[in-house]
Amino acid sequence: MMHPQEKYLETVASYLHCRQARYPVISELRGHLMDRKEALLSQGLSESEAEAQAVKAMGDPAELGKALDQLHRPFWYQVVTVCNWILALLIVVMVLAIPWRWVQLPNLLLPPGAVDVLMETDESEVLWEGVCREKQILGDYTFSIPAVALIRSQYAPDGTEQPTCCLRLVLRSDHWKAWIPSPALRFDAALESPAGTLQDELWYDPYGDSESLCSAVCQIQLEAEEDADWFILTLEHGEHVLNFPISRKEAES
Amino acid sequence: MSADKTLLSGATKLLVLSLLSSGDKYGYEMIAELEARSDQTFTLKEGTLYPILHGLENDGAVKAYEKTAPSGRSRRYYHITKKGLRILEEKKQEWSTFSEKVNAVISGCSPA
Repeated sequence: MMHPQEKYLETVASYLHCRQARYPVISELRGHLMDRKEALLSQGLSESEAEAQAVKAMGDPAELGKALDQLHRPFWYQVVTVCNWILALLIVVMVLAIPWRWVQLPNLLLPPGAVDVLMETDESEVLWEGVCREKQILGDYTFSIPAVALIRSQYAPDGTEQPTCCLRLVLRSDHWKAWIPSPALRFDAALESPAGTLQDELWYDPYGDSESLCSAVCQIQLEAEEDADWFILTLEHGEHVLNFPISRKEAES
Repeated sequence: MSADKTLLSGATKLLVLSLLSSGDKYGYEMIAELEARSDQTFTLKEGTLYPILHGLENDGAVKAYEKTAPSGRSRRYYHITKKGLRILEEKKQEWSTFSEKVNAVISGCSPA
């Protein structure tokens, strides 16, 4: 069992941040406790009574420790404390100064509704839209599909003026860090109607530098009944199959 | 008579500097002398002495040094500096003015 005086001193020491100050401060307090104990012993108290009273006479060890700690902060500690405050202030200023609208963070918060594919499209041209939260594996990469839209277009993908419907997917690769917006890939296909089967080759560029272009053949199938409000979009790559519904936009309004 | 401890707390620095003005002392020695001089009236928590002493040392009002007693124990003695003596005079003056004002008020309010 720890000596009551040592227990007192240990509590005081625990509040002293400055290691160099601990030894001289605690030594001084220990000397004081021993002087008080000797005085009490000379008054006829027992050893244990004298120790207990000596400790009691010193007062609250936490209060004493905190008061002494304030007086024994080393210079470097004060410098570090000031630097920490300056650094924290600089970080706050930098965060507030960043023009967040230029950062493509909204890509991470795409609401259902194909916001990204709609950025280049008049919203009135969107006929069907959906979102798939399941992961889709294409080649060596895993993507999520935060937005899918079937869009009415005046032009075919080859540029000829021919009314078509285009299917656009926004793919988000899991290989990107969460705070770096991933490239969005558009996949256009000329469709006369949502119904039918469509097959095409899907190219994707996960690093956005066009030097590591990868490709995978992805079977896309649309199945819908005439006048239906929704259809199933199927993406098939090897053994990976992903089905999710696409809703008619007009039906939602 | 037991004195109100709040009266003492404002004058602790004055008491400590005054004790040191009569000679170098170590912590416990100051406590014992304070008790003796005040006839046991002033018995502040002994732990409160050391933050005051270390604060005075940081301010340059006192200087500390180690001295080994004949028993072999090393003690930390405190010596009042010239700056400390100036502060002591200021505190004495403050206390004198304060007590005069208090006396003026209470002597003017004696019951009929």
